[in-house]
Amino acid sequence: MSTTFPYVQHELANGLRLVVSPDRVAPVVAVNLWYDVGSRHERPGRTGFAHLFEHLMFEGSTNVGSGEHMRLVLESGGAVNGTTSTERTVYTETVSVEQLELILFLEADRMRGLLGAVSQEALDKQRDVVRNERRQRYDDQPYGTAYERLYALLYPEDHPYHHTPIGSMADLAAASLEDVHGFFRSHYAPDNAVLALVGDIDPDHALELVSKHLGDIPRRRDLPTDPEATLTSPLPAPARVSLQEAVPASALFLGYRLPVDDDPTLPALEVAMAVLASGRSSALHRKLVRAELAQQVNAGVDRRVVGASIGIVIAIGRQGVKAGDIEAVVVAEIERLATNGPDAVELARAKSMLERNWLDRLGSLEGRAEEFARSTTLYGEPGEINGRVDRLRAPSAEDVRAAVAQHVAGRPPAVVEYAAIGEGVAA
Amino acid sequence: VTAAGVRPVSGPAPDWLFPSFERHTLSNGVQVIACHLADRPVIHVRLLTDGGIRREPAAVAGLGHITGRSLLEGSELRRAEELNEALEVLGARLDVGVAWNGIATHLTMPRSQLLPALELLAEVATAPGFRDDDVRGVVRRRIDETVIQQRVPHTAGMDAFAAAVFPDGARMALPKWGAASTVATLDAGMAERWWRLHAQPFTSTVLVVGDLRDVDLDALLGKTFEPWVTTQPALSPPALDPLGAARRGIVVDLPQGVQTTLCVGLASPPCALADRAALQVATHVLGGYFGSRLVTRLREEKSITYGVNAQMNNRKGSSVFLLTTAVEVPATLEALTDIFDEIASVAGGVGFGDDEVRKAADNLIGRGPIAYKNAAAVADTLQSIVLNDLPDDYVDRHRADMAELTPGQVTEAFRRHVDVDRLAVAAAGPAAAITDPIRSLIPGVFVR
Repeated sequence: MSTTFPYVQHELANGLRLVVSPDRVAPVVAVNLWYDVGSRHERPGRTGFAHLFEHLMFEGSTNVGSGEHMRLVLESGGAVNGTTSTERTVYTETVSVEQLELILFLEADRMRGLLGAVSQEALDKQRDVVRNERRQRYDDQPYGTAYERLYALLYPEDHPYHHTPIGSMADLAAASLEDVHGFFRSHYAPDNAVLALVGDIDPDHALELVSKHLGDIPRRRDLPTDPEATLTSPLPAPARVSLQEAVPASALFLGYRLPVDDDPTLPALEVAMAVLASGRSSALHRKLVRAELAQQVNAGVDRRVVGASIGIVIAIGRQGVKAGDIEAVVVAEIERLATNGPDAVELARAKSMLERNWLDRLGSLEGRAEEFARSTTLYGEPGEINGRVDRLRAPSAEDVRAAVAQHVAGRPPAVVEYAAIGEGVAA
Repeated sequence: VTAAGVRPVSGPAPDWLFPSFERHTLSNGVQVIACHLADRPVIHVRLLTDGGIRREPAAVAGLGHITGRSLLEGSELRRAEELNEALEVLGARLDVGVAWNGIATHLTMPRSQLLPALELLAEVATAPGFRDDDVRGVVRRRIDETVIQQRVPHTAGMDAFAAAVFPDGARMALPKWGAASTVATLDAGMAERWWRLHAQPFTSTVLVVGDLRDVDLDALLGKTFEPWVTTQPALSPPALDPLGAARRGIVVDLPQGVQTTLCVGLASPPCALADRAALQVATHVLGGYFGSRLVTRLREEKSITYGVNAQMNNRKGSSVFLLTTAVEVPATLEALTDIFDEIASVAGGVGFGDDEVRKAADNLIGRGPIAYKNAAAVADTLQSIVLNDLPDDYVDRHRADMAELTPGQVTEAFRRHVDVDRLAVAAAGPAAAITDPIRSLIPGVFVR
């Protein structure tokens, strides 16, 4: 089932790209301002900075007081957030249509003039908040640092994907006001951003408002070039971290380097991962969960723009089961796919699951706005989102088999494995 | 025209009402609620039945949950793998959640697959399998999951919170999905009896939310759910939840923890419909959103946490006031003292102020259209309306009530429901570091 979500796109004279998609279900609009800067753009010794900077964006700007942006949105029930990933930093608001112009003013004000308002005190405060975010979401959770370890194995030390967006405590401590200024000047500009608006709004009126508030912000022109990220896929040699920790059960985090997002074989690999572990009738659910080796298993593709995407399989073991036993089953299933390919039911099931998940994402205004912004930033084409179902539906069983054989089976994986203390790591 | 520095003034939000929905009853008594939301390509279906947590005797805590999960293990006609494969080929997903007042079976699928997915849901509900080995497997898996939940600070804290606010021996004092010891006693016969006792057509509701253009729902449900036959009489409502009498404190020891997860609150008698708006605003002012007192104090002023959450959970058997946060371990006492101070300042002090009440109410009122543009959120609220016996116009009425509130009404409602002397604390973190500080506020605190 292809999607036909409508959209209109414009590029302002200062380089800001705008995508507007009407949706009349409720008198609200989802705003997604996507800056093309994420943790992959951070310099050595400043991991976590893009995310820390995102927090500072709520500390006020030329005409907006500290915390006022958030308060103004919340006063009338709006939702407001910022998120940072490896690829981008996104600022989102979902508000009543009557508030849209105010939101555009607020976003324009901080795009135009953040720096005067950011003090050492604000930096210190948000640094502490981010440290607590790191503790709560990563350091204090079982397996909370697994992704960090997996990325570090998959990408070499000088590679922009070697670290995760949350960064290290030491690098956060080292961040200075000078870094804040430099980062803003380098990355925060209209020609490094895409604005997506989805909701009860007329595209012409949206363009008028956006031009009024953001149209006169000077373009940067001298945007920094992206850090070198070329990689040979696959990983040159297996990489493994074996941990014995106070975790409640063994766990396996298995990663493979895959081609980048726009590579024609990636949809087949997404289907392959869904065959492996998306849904209760998937191959690994049957052989691990129903067989009582694992409590849960998931697999997917983390689509990356440059260098290499990641194919990931994650399983949490049942009590007393070693990660090595789980890994053996996963590897055997990958080998089966590379040899025989998926059968007709597996293929149909995997595609249907991927389609449903994608439709669910586009069914929310926020999800649709984010995907419009993503496809515009990365591919210059918002309509790419409407073609994704067809791309996921396209691979044949042979395409899936060949893609797994080429990129996964027999290729060196990166493995992070956990044993609960007293269990022993090795199989 | 440059707009720099000229702040626009927003007009009032357009009038908005909760999405309209239609009700009707199938000939066998099944209630149907249908809500059309254009351009929502994934349909959300919920089958709501009796048999929730409040029905469970403490000795079999978790039976509703195990029963619900066992539905996913297959029907009389097909085993789990065949059932799941049939669902997944359609792009459908079936999940079961146990709520305080019922079991909610969730089905989602692309709209093109509504009929075949409904047929599978009806098959599972009206002819469930409940095979011995399948249910044994569900029980074993659930017991293993409890081991993980005990190590996750939030879930460990929430389990201890239940034990702190409800009296020993009560069902509500046990974890929501049961304790490992009670779950271990459950079997297929018990699950089957539980389902057949509670899941009857005349006490069940089917919700359908999504893009229902050109969908003949009457015909689809007539084919799938109308043949369902009543086999059990109606049950009388469960008793109200017993409440804990005194302030209690429980520490869950997570020796490696780098934060303390704090759950503070209490259970009180069920909240009258008329008090709901005031209590929601009260908890919102205290810790429900970014502008709240405790987010300001603990995060924005002191930077000792990433966030705070506060809520009033209104159930049919009791109301539970709950405030949660995770703070740096050395700041445990400071955070707890601040939380107690804020609550005491309302309960025994000056109460809530006009500005904070108005802002919190405006935030909650304004959330309406923003929350309910997506199908899942609409389905969640319709589910709550059904399971809690709320009026159909509950959302609109609740928003109107909030618009009329005065600070005095909010303060009085909070004082009626929150007795500071009964506040309980559950803390998950390194016990060696946090127990003594907590003891200075709650002398009887113990580590479990």
